[in-house]
Formats: sequence, C-alpha cells, structure tokens
Amino acid sequence: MQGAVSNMVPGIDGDCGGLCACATCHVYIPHESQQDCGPMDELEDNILDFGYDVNETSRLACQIEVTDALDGLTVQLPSRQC
Amino acid sequence: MSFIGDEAAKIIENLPEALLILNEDGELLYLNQAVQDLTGFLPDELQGQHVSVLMPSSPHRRVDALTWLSRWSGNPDPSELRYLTLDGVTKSGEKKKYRVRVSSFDSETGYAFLVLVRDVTDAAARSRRVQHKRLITERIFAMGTDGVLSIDEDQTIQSWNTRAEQIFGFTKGEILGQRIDKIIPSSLHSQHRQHIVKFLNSESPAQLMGQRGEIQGLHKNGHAIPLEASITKTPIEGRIVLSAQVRDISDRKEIEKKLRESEMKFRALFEHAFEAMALLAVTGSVMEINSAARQLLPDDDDVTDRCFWDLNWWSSANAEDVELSKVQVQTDIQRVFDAGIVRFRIDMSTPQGLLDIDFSLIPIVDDNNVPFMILAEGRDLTALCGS
Repeated sequence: MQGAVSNMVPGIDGDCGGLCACATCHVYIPHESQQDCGPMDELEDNILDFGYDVNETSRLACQIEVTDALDGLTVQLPSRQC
Repeated sequence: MSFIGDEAAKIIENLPEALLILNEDGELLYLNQAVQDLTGFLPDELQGQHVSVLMPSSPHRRVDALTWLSRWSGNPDPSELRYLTLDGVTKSGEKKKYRVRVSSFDSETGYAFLVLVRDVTDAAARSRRVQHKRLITERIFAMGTDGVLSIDEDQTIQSWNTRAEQIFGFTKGEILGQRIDKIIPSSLHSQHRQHIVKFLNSESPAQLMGQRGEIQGLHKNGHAIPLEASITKTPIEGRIVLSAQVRDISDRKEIEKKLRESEMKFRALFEHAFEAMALLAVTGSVMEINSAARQLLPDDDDVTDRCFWDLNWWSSANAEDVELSKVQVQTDIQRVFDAGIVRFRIDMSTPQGLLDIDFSLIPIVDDNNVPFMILAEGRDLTALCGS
C-alpha cells in the first residue's frame, strides 16, 4: 500500500494510512502469490467485510509486507474502493 | 419508549443527532426526529422494521448493517470508525453514506443497540473529488518531464520528483531534509541564497532564476549541470513554500556549442575561400557574400536582399549586352532547379577591372532533396586565359 500511495498509483487509496481500518487498499492477489503475502489475521478479515466485491483472493495491501518473494507481483483491483 | 422516563424521552427526541434504537435482531424500536429529517421516514413507517430498510445490504459487500453494528457495538471508539461508512437509503430512494457510532445496553426489554447516524454523503463526495484532484496533480508532479522540487523558508528541500532524481542523481530519500545548497555549486551558494531571500521579500509570485532563467546545478557525482529554472512562492498558513521547476539543458547547450563550432567552421571556409562565393535564396536574392566576392564589388555596394542578377557585376561596354547578361544570369538561376549545377562564363566589371569569371550555381538541398539555397561560386580565369 505504501508503495502505491507514495508513487501515486491510482486505485489503491489507503485512506487510513495503513492502519487496517478503512478497506480502501483492497487488492486481489494471484493464487500463486498468496502464500508469499503472509497470513491474514482476524482484524484484516473483519475490515475486508467493508471492502467492495471481496472474494477469496482479496487482501488489504497495507497488511502485506513487501519482500523479495513478491518481486514482480501484479495485483488486480476492485472496480472501486468504497 | 416505555423503558425510559418522559423527560429523557423528550431529550432524546430532540437531540440534534439522528438516533436509532434497535433490538438485537436489528428491528427498529425507536427513531428520533433527526432520523425523520435525515431519511424522510416517519416513525410509524419504520417501527418494527429491520434496520436494512435504512441501511440495505449490498451484493458488493460481505457485511450487512446488523453484523456491522454487532461488531462495533463493543468498540464504539470513533477513531476506529472514522474511515468506515455504511451505505444508506432515504424514503425517496436517494443513496447516502452514513458515519455510524453504535453502543449497546441491556434494558428491561432486552439487549438493544444505540446507533448515532450522521450523513456524510456530501463530505465523502467532496473528499473523493479532492483526492482525485490531488492524485492527478501529484502524478503530473511526479512524472513530469521537468524536475520539480520545493523548499521551505530555511531552504530545506521538502519535495522532490522523479525527474529531479534523474537530473541531480539524488534519490528522494537522500535529499529530503537537506539544504538546497546540496544541489548548487559551492561558488554559487552565497549568490543563490541572496536571490532566494530577495525573491521571498519581493511581491512577485514567480520568476525565472538567473539570466534568462539559466543557472548551474550540482549533480551528486560533482559535475555542474546547466539548468533552466523558475520559482514560485506559495504562502501556506503563515509559511512560505518555494517551488522550483528545473530543466536540464545540457543537451541544448551541447547542441548550441556544436552549432557555434559549425558556424565558426563555415565562416572560416566561407570568408577565407579564394573563390568568390554568394549564398542566394531560391528566389535568387543575395543572403550573403564572402570577402573574395566583396572585393569584386564597389565598396559602398550593399548586396543583401538584392537579386543576384541585379548586382553591378555584369558589365560590358554595351548597355544592351549588360541587360542580356542580367537576363542570362536570371535564366541560369531558374535552370538550377531542373538541371542541378549550372555553369556559365561571364565578364565581370570589378574595381580591379574587367575579369573573366567562370560561375557555378549549385543548388543546396534539404533532407527531402528540395533546394532551399543556391551557392554561387566564381573562379577568376582572367590570369589563366592571359587576357
């Protein structure tokens, strides 16, 4: 999320600044990369309830720590964030 | 509301905030006047109805209003909720965004939710518009072809775009918080500082820096960078922020230098050539002549923009022949466009006397092979022909 916001990537808003409180950094992670994004905790799962068009590949970008394993990751975005 | 006294009921009824009371199944037990004003629904229309009448579920969201309220009733801290809104709808079908705070209590009649509802539809829309504008302007700032940076009144760098990174070699992480001196040659620090102070104290909101906007910057690896720069100042809450737009003109300077060198070489060849030369426009008018050609003319003869055939070179004892010569030269200039190089030999009347000159008219063409200039060369054959 921080990378997207710092580089003005449209579509990932991060209204709460990465506090896992707004669901406006909702992204879809490809199946092959989900393991590398780390586990989802209960708070993230709760906040995803407020995301738009959430599905089984949904994550909040602010809860994904970027590591070398995610190099080259492409995420899809919902049609809107709120 | 049978579970509170009349006075409390009056207070709640007249609260300036919309208040709902729901049972644990989400059924509406009570709504105050502010709810009616907000939604258009009358109490009778909502009494006993499910809260989803006011806050309908959406196929696009996993959670429904009751689940939401249940979850947050145990944590009514507004700081947790300030980013979350619930989708609402009025009696007339108008869609709304509600900011909701909820707490719960056990009453005599059972578990109940106390829900405060605030309409943030307009504020949310305004916020989105501001966000979109900010995104657009920040992308222009970040990805523009010019370096853009800003400094505060202490001349400390506050912002730095991608192009500035490329021009100066410093990443954003390396340069933010540093003084602007870091990207200016040390010999110019004092001058630059004075310039900034003068600009801060002036009434002008923007200006070019240096002479014609040209200044020197300093790359991370120590080399000087010729720049074109302009600065603007923006007062924000009592502070002044200075923004600078900079363009690396190294390439342009290199081209200018090559042009100057090319011009010098051309001048050297043109002016020092033994043969008389004239550059003509395609119309036949003289653009310039070299020294050797000038010597063939009277001193006070101004040739610029005159037609080549009209110059005082073509001479004969017979005036009629002079005219014929002029017509011949004019015709030959026209022939250049069809025939390519045209040569003719003619007598020229010069300060040195009558000379036998062998002329060449050579078309100079552009990349599309279209003539845009004619080179007229004259070789003096007088001595060779032993006149």
